[in-house]
Amino acid sequence: MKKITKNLDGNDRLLLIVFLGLTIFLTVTTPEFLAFGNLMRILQQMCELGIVSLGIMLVILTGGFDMSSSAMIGMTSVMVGVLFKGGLNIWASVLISLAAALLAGFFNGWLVGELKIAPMLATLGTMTLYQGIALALSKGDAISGFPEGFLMLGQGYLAGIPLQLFLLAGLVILMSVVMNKGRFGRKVYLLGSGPVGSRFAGINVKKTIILCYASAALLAGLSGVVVTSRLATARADAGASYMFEGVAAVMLGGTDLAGGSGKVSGTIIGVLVFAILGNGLNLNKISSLKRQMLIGIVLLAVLLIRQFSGKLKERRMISGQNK
Amino acid sequence: MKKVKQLTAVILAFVLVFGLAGCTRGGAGEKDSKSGSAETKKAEDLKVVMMPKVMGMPIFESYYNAAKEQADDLGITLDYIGPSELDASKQVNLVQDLISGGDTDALLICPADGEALVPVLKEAMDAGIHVYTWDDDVVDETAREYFINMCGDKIYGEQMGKTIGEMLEGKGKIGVVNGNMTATSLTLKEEALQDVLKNEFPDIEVTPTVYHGGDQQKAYALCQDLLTANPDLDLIAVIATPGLLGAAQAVDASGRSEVIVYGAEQPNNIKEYMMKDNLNVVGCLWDVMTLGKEAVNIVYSCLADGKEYKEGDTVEGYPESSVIGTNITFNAVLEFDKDTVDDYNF
Repeated sequence: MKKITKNLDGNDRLLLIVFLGLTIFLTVTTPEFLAFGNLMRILQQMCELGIVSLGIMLVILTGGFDMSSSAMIGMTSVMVGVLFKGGLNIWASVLISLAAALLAGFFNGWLVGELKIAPMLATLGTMTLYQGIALALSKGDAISGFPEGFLMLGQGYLAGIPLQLFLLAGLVILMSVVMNKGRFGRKVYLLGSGPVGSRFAGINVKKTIILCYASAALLAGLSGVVVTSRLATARADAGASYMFEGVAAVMLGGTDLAGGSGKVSGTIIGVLVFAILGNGLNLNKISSLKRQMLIGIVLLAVLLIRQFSGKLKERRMISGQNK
Repeated sequence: MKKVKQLTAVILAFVLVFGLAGCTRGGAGEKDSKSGSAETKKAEDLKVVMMPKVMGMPIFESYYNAAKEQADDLGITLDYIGPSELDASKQVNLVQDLISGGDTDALLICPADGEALVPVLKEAMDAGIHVYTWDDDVVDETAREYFINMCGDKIYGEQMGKTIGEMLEGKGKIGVVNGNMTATSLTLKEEALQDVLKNEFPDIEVTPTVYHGGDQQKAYALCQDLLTANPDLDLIAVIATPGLLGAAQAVDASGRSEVIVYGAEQPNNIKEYMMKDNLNVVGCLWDVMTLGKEAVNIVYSCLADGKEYKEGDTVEGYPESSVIGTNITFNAVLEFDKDTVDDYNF
């Protein structure tokens, strides 16, 4: 096993073990798990979380934290509904809502990058603002009556594969390329490792931060569109649990909360681990209430193992034993 | 290059897992063929899942207790699973996983959102699961076989309206507290209530409706606000549980014993407040235990005996009941106050 995964560092190895271990365990204990339909449903369900998690990861990489992602999902969802109900073409509504999300993201980024407000505080404030906008626009109502074409995004399948998976896959590839190949990606990682050092390295810290928050908001907005399509309703509380779940997935995936390191693949596997865990529990008809507990246990276990193996590596390095 | 290798390793892992899936199930997408088709089945083999809007709400626990007792009597398996939050997408995911699970014969569900659940319930029916809604319904009646409730939403709302009008003798000011806006049944009840008030008791002033979202604490806070904002408030009408408790608590704390607290709650839960001398609490609900029990009975009769309920039928043993379209209703609203609350045990 160590040979095959030689090129993966301890973090990724652990994650892969957890992912494969969980999958194999479920395959053995729950035969229905491996059914094509079930796997496709898992993928369909996890896309929304996957998309927003990419954005959450991006902001965490800069050493920041975006608390407003869930609120962004709700706000985008409501805007799509309100604009559509107001008579606008559905796709125009979607585009305008995404533009609004992008704008909100720029606002987030401006607060953190320009005004230098602590990210958590700034986005806590904007979270409340966006939630409020969503509630005010929707008047607390859920809006429905969307056209079939729009619903296809969240509920349709192409050759048996859920449509939103293509969106997620595209975004994953795009983000991987940008983060690993482009200069922007390098800037983000550098920023997360230390804003002072980055400035001396000639990086426009402000611009990078703003771009990250804006992208995260856009991703949250996209997630909101998918949720709205899948549920065929626009709700202010859409994706309400996704911020915490997303952060948990990002952490599970190996991204350092302090910023500076983390991989797209890790985040996606993190999301998958939670999705598979949830699915396994549902298939075995285990109470949803226990599910929260189990997800917490898995997360803590991985974090603890990582912490200890990290300390172990440090000690080995210091005593010169690490190869 | 290292990062590309890592990504490749991950992709290989995926291919491994999903390739395995492709091999075991040559078919495409949705039709995980399974049992549970139209033929009647033996009682011991019947697997029914009861799914509330959200886990942990007392009224649903009561439904389940009655349903479980009946299920045990009939000898069928009844599982009680539901989302941990009042979130339509979580409930949709649960239903999807039930479809994957493949061993559910019938789903008795109280939908968290009348629209959002429609596509997945239709999917469930296609996969051979018999779907029934209870307590609250979906907007598309082809998404389930029957909707079972104790009394029509319109009848319930009208009864509330009439009682309010009588209690206030046609004049006064009331506040309305409901559960959540996306619940079809609650919305219809409120509409009926408002219509009766508008048409028959036009001198009763109604403040804008507030929503507690299934949270008793929130209901308490909302009612406090209502009391503060309306010093001339005469009555608080609560359409959804557990709001009545919150309302009673708020009125109790405010010391304004002239405010009548009226609405939906189970007798056992509201008894303490109902018996207080300084409060005037009147309950309006339906027999939760009977609904829980009979819902299971109806599901059983459909699956094991192949029974069909047609327009104009009644449910055996309940001459007051009726079948309207695909809606099986018992037409029995239950009102109770401090004198009658002890007659009921749920």
